[in-house]
Amino acid sequence: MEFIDYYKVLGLDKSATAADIKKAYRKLARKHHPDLNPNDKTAQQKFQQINEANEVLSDPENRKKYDQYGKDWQHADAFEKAKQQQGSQGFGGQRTYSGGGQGFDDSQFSDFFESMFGGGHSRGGGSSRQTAQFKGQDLNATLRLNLTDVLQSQKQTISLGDKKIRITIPAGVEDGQTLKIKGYGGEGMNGGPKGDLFITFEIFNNTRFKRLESDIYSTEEISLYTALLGGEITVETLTGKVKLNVKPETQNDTKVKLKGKGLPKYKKEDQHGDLFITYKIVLPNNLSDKEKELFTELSKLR
Amino acid sequence: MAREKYILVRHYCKHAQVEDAFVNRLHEYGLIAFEEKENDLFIDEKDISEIERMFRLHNDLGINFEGLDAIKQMLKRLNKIEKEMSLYKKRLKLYE
Repeated sequence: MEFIDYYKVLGLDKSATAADIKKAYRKLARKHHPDLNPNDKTAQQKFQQINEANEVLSDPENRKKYDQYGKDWQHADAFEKAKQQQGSQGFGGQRTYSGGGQGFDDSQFSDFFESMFGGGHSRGGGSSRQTAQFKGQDLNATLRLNLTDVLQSQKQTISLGDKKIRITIPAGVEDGQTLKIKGYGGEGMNGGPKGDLFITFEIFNNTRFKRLESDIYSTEEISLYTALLGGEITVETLTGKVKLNVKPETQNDTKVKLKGKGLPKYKKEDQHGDLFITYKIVLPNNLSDKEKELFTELSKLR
Repeated sequence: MAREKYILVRHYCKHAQVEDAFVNRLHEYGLIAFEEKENDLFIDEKDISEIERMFRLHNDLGINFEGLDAIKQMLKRLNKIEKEMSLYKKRLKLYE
């Protein structure tokens, strides 16, 4: 457990006035509020730190205790006991945020805070704020898949605590895509609806192809002679090898499209994207004297 | 298709401890829609997360209703831009 410099969290020093604290807190709260930073996973953590710092520094008694025992927080317990023996009440705390955002838990004060100011139950005097919470908390989960797993829709059972949920992962799902499973979040309050479960997919590309939505891309090396004279080559696709005819006088970086050889389109499993192949011409090296002679002869024809 | 569920506005306000005035103002500003049935007002269950989000912004940051409307529009735009950026990043990776 480490000491937390609440002044530093709010960008202030110890001489800050109550007005400075209020101003700094409001500014940072506006910047890091989780509802204003929906895709920033660090925003909730930052917002919690800011709230915690404000909780301590905006309350004169909490601030006094923090200033007195801050760096020596281990002795705060002794201080607390002495105060209790003298009939003093515990330190009050008023939570300034009770969000029900995805995965946000306002009860997570730092160990340092809990150690110095006690758990929520012991912090008398603070009135809990309105939360407007009716719908259950939304939950987030991440599911890792290989790219080859998304070639077909598949059923999977995932564990969520002691609950098992059977879900269908649609073919063609993309990296970073989120699937909402309605009603599989936390219990609602006062008869409110359950929260939802959001599953975000992390797709690991275990193939040699690059992907853009349902299209895939690869490069194939062809010899100078195949490029000039044409010929048949065998290329890999996601579903096996196929033979391709390379046209005579094919230029380097020529792109060919293999229609329907890409990934299935999301929620349109009977439709597929395309495979784009770029030809890279490989020039021969370590030429023999005979080859050099023939290439010289060829060059004179141009 | 999932059946839509509606919740009586006054039931929601009572149980979520939200003042009726707050929800009514959200409606006035066009931030949520009401469904009227037999002289009773209902909200769509899928709008609840949005109401809760606006309540937090209003309470935590003191944002007024004009501000909530502006934030809603900006977040919508941000979401669109982030999606576009993600697509451009994927396209760029094709050239790496």
